[in-house]
Amino acid sequence: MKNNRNKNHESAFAAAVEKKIQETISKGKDNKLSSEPKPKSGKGL
Amino acid sequence: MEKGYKNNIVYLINPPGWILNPGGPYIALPLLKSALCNQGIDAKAIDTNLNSATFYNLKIDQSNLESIENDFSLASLNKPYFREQNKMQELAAGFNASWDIQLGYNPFGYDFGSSESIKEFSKQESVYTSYFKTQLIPSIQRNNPLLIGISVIVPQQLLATFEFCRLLRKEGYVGKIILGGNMVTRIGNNFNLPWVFELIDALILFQGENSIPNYFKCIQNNLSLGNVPNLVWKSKDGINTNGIEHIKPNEFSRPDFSDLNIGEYWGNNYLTLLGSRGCYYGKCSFCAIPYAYGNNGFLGHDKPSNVFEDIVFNKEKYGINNFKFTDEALHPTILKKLSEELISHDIACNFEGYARFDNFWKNEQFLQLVSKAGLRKVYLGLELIQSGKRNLLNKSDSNDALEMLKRFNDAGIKVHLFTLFGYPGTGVDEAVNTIQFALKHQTLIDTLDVFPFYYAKHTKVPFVNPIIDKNKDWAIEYDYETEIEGALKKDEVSILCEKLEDVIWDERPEWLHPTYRMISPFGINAKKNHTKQSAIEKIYA
Repeated sequence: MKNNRNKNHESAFAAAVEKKIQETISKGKDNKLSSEPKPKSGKGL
Repeated sequence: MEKGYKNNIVYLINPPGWILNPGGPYIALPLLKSALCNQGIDAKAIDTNLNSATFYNLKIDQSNLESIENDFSLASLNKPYFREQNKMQELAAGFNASWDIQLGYNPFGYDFGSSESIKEFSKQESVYTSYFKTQLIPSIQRNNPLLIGISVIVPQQLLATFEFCRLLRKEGYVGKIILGGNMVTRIGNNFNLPWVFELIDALILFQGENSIPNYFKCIQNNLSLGNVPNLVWKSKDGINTNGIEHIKPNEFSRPDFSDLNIGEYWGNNYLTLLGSRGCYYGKCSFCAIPYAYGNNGFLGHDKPSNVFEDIVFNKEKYGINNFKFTDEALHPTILKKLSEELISHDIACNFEGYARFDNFWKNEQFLQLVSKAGLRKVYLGLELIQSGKRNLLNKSDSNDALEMLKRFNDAGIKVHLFTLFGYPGTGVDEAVNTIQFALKHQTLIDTLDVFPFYYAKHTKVPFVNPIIDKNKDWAIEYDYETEIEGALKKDEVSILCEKLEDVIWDERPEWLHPTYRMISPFGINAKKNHTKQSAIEKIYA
């Protein structure tokens, strides 16, 4: 039950971030995230 | 291994697990070798991080990068990267583990923040076992050194360090083993566990340049260890922690790279330099990086003439013109005097380093000088674009990042930006606006990192309390709780950073890509901005 609540909250938060990105950066542009794999994030050099 | 006579030599080891794509060695071993040799003690430095990769023929070399030419698409940058990454993953699969160019080796179920986990997993075979057994340990057996010093820089090296110590002891090595380095210093007292001191003899905290020669002389002459500074050691009464003494600028060593495989590192090779020890500011509330230098994170500046001589000597010796300052923040005095010397002696070289957004970078004459001397790239902590909330980070730097980016660009100096999202009290708006700013001014930016906030050990973040899990006694990053209204939770910070990284992967993949970092700023591939700034500004207005 608690996990479901967490998942719902995370989905809602992710949607809110997406919305803000659309409004601020993408502005209706269809972001075409490449199907290419991406290196995992390191800590920089 | 012969138990009796031991050679009066110190082996200095950089263990496997550090990121594999830097073009030069971590500077700790060259400094320690030099400090030992200056006191008449023979020392041999071995970069087992590089050598264990070479053992499996893993490498991305300069020719792989040149073949990318100027196509910095994700597909093009991925090609050499995943060629090696996939080989590593295949090797690790046999050990039920992952092995990543940037994140090191991790068996499934292993937790590098837990001493108990490290203790158990270090008894298992790993991708490094064959290298240890067939190359490293036999070479140690041939020389039988009196002392082996292992410098642990990042958590990802802890597992390999203890596996190596176990194998070495099993093969009969009875000389002394000491551990030091950034990670050992940051973990501090939590390292003082019985099983650790069954494998090793002592720890060195903070800088080891005085402590290791001092320790060596004591064991060589059977003297008491009680006066060796910064030493944690076991006696019949238990674990003893000696007093801390910080080294002074006139004791800073000159790096000695002579044992290392210079030219054999991944990508475009460079040599490492150190002009100042620690961060001259050192008050950013989220940052624990300078802690291990000691003295509240700052030990002082070296003489610019010493740094100049390092460049001239090593350029001639190794035929390498590229240098990376590992200073936490380049200081204007050092940089100005060094640049004047390089120009007046007509020394051709290229260099890069970390810096703060401090106002001296706005000085056009200064920028022209350092650019002419060879400064090619600066790595700057932007964290967030200016807003009332950025002040929470206590950076006390310039409030005009854009003006500075333009001036760097005018002077032909590339810029890397570090961004930091989720610091308590800052939220989604500040993070998204920062990436929007970066994309709007993308012609001024060469590379960028997105970092999520975490509570770092040895920092104090106002109104935020770390949650310390007893089972993660070797963790240097903590979960946290705060009463700050609207502060993002750890999971939310992760989501925010992932979403914003996705935007960058879509728009400017080279900003994040490790392959491009092996090219920039020293590669011959030059990034050209085909799109005009005015057109970009319209898109991201």
